[in-house]
Amino acid sequence: MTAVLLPVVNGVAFAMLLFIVASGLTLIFGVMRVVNFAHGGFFALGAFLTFTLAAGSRLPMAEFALAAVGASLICAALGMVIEVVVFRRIYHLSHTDSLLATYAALLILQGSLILIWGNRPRSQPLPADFGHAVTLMGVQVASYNLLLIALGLLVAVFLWAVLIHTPMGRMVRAVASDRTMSAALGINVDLVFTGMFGLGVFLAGMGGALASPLFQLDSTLASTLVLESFAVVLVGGVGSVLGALIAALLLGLLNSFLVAFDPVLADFSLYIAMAVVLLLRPTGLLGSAAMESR
Amino acid sequence: MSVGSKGVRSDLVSTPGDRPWLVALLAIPAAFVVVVALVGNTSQLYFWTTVAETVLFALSVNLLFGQTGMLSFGQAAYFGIGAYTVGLLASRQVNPLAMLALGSLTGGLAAALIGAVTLRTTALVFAMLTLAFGQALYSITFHLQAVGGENGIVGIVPAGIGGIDVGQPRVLWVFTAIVVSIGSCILWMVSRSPFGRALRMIRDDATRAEMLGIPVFRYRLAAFVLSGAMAGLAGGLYAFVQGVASPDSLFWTTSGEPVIISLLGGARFFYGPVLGSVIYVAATDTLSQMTPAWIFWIGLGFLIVVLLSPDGILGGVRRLWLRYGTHIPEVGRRRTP
Repeated sequence: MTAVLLPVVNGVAFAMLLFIVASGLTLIFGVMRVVNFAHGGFFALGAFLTFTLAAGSRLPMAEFALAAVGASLICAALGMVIEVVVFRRIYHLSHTDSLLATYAALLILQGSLILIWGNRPRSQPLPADFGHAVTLMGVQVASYNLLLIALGLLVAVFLWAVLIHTPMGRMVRAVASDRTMSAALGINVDLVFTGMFGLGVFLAGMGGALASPLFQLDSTLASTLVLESFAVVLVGGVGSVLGALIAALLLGLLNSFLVAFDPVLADFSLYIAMAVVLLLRPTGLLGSAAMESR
Repeated sequence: MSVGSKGVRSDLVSTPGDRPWLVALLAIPAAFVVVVALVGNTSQLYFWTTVAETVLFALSVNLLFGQTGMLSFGQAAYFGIGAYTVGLLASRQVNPLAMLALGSLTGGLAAALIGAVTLRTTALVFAMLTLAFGQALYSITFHLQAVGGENGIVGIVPAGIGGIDVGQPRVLWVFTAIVVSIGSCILWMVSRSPFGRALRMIRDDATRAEMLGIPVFRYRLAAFVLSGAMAGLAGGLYAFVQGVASPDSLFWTTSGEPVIISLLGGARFFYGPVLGSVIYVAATDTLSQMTPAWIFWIGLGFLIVVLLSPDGILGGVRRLWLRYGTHIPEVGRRRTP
């Protein structure tokens, strides 16, 4: 029981962190049809902002949460500004050209991290109430991992409720499926784009904030986890939040079971899994034909 | 080049022919190699050797990106394979040219295997798949202790050829320049051949090319393998120049550099990556001495090029030439009686 439960909890916790970041990425792709490499930059920015707002010290949970929310909101605001100034100019380009523009944006964000925080790696301690292990069915698991699982599920439910059951969600889905027709029907497409970009980047920042106690904070953070969330988005199917959830769980569990055996295999398997799914099913598990167009 | 509105859109890639400046184009680099070899100090030699090795890598990537219209985000894999091949052989005193040939061969072989699988998809899936395979290779070298793990292989020195110490900076510069010239010439001839024209046709309209009887998949695969082989050659040179073969040379951001370089110079021009390499290496060299956040300025410059002049510096110059330079032939005509 112990041998199974521990990797399951750790795997699901990692999966939820991946899901939070990847759901933002998949929303941006689904609505704007842009492969956003800059997502990794916002993820890293969220982590660094949390470090600064929390002053790098061990805080009670409530204050850490405040820092995390503040960091995510700053990311979202910056994201919306960048959407209006830069990204709006690249939607009409082909996938590969817009991908290069977002790659440039990633380099700029990564450089900004060094400009603001310097090259010295930082670390953010866990919030005070979540630094210990709790016993769950006879197994010692990290309580912060349980928090991650709860928050991941909360994000999933929130996105499902907003996208499927509100008028705003219907508008977003309309724009995602046909932006010209939506504009003709009187939907403010530009506003939807900016709003969804803000939401996507908020999720990236939130992922970064939650990851800040788990990773060493340096500028390479911008180019590491983004690839794993790319894998989640592509395996799940571009634009599908449910697909991202399933893919994150699959890849997270695969990763945590393989890490126990062999770390080489764990890293390697993620990319091989991504390659296999893309080859057998280029649209991903639950994707539509979004990847096929253009 | 054809005239009329279509002529404006076609590229310079296919234009050099029996023009007198072609001689200059070949003579100037040769003279340049000799001058740098004679008067360059150690840091200048190192700079130009790095530029030369970067030129070959960028040209290899641009065969795919600029000429065939395929964006691969995994060319670092073949570059790294070339570097590691050379690194693993370095302690055995093999002839450096043989080592480079082997590095090129392993790069090409890996590209053949991965290309045969990844090229069956659409453009965006292709970019993501090459990225995934590249990262898979990166994670192997990063964890595998047999190839030095995280640190890679260090202290790579080329063996001598006939008593000449190739590792000596001045000799290494000439050696690198010769190898890069050979590689570039092969790529240039390929781009001017009917095969190269077919690749540009595939870039402009793959469906039409297929309809006209061009075997699109096989031509793309051939371009991918040639690109991988040249990237492997460039990687082998990198191992000699830097003295290391590290996992970093396989990381996905390494794949981004030659793409930036090609776009900066002008991806639709054969010489775009050459101009791009000089500017990029000089810029990173200067900026990294001034600020640790040099990547910020590289990113900003790259973004400006993508947004304002997607055909790079050469494209910008060409547009200015077409707009303001049209009176020049008239001046020439008036002079001839």
